[in-house]
Amino acid sequence: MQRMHIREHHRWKWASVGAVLLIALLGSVWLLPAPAAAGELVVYSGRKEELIRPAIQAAEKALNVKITLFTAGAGELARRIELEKASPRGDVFIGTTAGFAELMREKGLLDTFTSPLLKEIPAEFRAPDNTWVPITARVRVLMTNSNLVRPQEAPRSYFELTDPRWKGKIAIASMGERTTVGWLAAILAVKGEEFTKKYVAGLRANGLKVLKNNTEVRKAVAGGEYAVGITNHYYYLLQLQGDPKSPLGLVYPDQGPADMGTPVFSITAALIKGAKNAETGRSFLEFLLTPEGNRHLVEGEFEIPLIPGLHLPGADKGIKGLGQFKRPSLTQAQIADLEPKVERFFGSALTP
Amino acid sequence: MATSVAQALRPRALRDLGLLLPVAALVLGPVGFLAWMGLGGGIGDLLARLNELGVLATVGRVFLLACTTTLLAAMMGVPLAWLTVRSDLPGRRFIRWLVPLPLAIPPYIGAIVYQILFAPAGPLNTLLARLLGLPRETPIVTIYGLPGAAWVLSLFIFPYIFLLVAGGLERMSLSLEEVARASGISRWAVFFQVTLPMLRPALLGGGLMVFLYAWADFGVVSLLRVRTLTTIVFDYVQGTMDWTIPASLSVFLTLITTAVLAIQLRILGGGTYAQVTSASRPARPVPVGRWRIPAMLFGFLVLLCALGVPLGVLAYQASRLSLPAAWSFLSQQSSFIWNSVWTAAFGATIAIALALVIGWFQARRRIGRGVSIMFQIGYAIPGTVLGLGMVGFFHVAFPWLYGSPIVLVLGYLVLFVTPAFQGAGAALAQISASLEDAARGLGRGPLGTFREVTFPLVRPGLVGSWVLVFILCMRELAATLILRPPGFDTLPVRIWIHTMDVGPVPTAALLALVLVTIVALPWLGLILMGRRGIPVGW
Repeated sequence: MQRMHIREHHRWKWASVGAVLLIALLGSVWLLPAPAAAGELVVYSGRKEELIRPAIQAAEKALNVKITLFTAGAGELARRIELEKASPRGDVFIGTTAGFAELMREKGLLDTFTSPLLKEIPAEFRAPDNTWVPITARVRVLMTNSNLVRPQEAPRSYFELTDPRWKGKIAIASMGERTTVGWLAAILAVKGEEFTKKYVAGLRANGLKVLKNNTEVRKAVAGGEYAVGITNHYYYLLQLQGDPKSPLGLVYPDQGPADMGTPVFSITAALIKGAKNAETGRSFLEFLLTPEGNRHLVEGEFEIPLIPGLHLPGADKGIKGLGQFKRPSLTQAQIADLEPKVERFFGSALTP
Repeated sequence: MATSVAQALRPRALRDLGLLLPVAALVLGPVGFLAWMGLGGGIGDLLARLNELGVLATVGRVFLLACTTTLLAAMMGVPLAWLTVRSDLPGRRFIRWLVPLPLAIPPYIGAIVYQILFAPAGPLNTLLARLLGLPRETPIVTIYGLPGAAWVLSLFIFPYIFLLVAGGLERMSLSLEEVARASGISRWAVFFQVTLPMLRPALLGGGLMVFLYAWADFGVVSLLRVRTLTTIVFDYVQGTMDWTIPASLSVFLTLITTAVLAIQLRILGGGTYAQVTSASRPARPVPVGRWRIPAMLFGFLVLLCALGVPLGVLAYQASRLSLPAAWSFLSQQSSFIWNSVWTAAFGATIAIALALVIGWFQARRRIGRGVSIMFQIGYAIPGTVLGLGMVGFFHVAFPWLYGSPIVLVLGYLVLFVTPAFQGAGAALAQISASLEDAARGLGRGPLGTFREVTFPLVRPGLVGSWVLVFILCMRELAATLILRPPGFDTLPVRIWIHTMDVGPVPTAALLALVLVTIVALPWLGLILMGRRGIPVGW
């Protein structure tokens, strides 16, 4: 009896020792650096992964490469690219606005990219030195809950939102969403520092609710938690796609003759300086600028196309194309250059 | 005399240092990196910016959150422990068996579930609006904010308190209570005047475990819209290229956490570990009498909220996917599932091995105390902070490791060697050295002694500890989000990305269900094998 017990112990012991060895072995095999295959590309993307995937898959097919998609906040990606500058791990960066691309350009972290296809895109969207590449665009809008706000009573201007009428009824995404920062940068550029500081203070005093991201804003407005959301146009389409019966209204603010208009932001892509797969990266960017590649981005994310010949998603639901609404005459670089100032002035007001 | 003492001390001190240095580098390196990045600019300017961010108010808020969570967790854990150990409540064995299970549900998944239930146009609000005849435009109840976050956190970590208190009750000698009863003191008075004071160590230990968890949490507070230091750090990491604010906040957070830890060490005088062992004499069950129905209802309600509702909602959400769609989605995600499983298994195995080494050195060579203190600091650092620090530190110090999954495993070690030590290392430390000496005296070599004497004695604690650390690694989110190399996502990261992108959708629910299953299986196995001594890492 005693012996059996001891034997039992032995079996247990060897089984556990074996398991440990096996795991260690598996682990070490897995950890060995895999030899980099020729057709490989690492894309650092700040975009929503499910929405950008069709474009990535199309590129994999068209270019015959394997693309590793690394999704994180655009700021985190930029931070990584800066850390990794001596030996870059990523090849291509895709950001949500020109903001981080411009910051990285100034820090010398980006390579240049030129293509005849770029000529089709209006100059205001392009980088001063052809580092980053605009691929699609989105416009800042107000999204309203039509159960809580009748269309004729909806705010017509960003600057109405400090009115006590909207107290506690407005939501916006945190500065983790770069379009929030870009929006204030545009206001800063047009209206000046003093005005903008007063405006943001007014919004805060009026109970502006800062949520984690734009997805939360659209859900909170659609669900009736907040009457008005300051967000981007495609969230309106995303919400309607998820639930066509959502009680939503859409406003293009500040469209009067004396008003500033509402800013447009381009999604930007860029080649990381010293990228291991620079050539593949170039063909990837080139592909994103062809109608075939761009179509996936525009349709997948309901964006406004910047290259001619593409259909505008949501045109039937009141979405306007470039030129059909008023926007401030600012270049993407001008907006981007003011963003660090916005971070600095309003960072605390824009964290949830 | 003096010189001989110095001579005797020197090699020991050297060996201690040899043990301590690599570990200290692993833990203090990241914090040092953050301090360097955060304090690089002027202090005055930094303080002004932190003040603008409302850091002090935020600390107050997090403190309130942690206290509320601890209180709620105690309100669930203590009565259930007493009822299942001491009373004649019908079904107490069943409750006893089920109550630890919510530990297998990561709190952020609990938050996703309650977010679905309490969504503005979600099931609960719709039902309430219909019942109360209110308009449906604006939500009636909300889970967002501090009370909701405290509620969700406490639901999924209260079993820590339950396990410790139940263990304490089982070990407690009954004579004192019997004497008190015999002297005519009422049952309630006995509980408050005798039982509760004797449970003080278990209560303090469990309470601090829950407190520190809530204090360092990122997932739940972020999902349920509570502004804490970790969410501010994460927001700055995601939304800016600035290092000053996130790094300095991180250092600040680490300092406070270390202070809490120091206080805890003072109060409890060392590590808090407890093994659930049976009492020498089974207590005569206290009749619950007319409290039977309310008590059963209480147990049922807690289990419903912490176990039934989350599993039910996840299963319902996931069932909205068709079977082929679910299958193709899962096979698409299979590499991430595998990443999670192997890094967690690898991390748990090394953590246990390290814990054994530390335990052996502490017990036999009386060195290595510094090492376990280092790991305790590592355990208390919030994952968001550790992730940020490790990415930077490894890039500067070990560029050849940077960007490999090894960093992830090292992160798990910093975070979870302490719980491993509390199970396995402590068991080793408790084995009398004379047993090993006897084996050596009978002619066994050091390895033979370990194989035939030491290992069999610590093995029961080992399996339980391994499972615990495996679970902790499997569900780690905050540090992994920042530490993962490109293309190397884990299951919690995928759940996070899916939830962040489009809200709590069926695919996220399906992934959460997979995670809960992988985590619950070894746990269930332990319970079914009837293994006592489920370790309680704090």
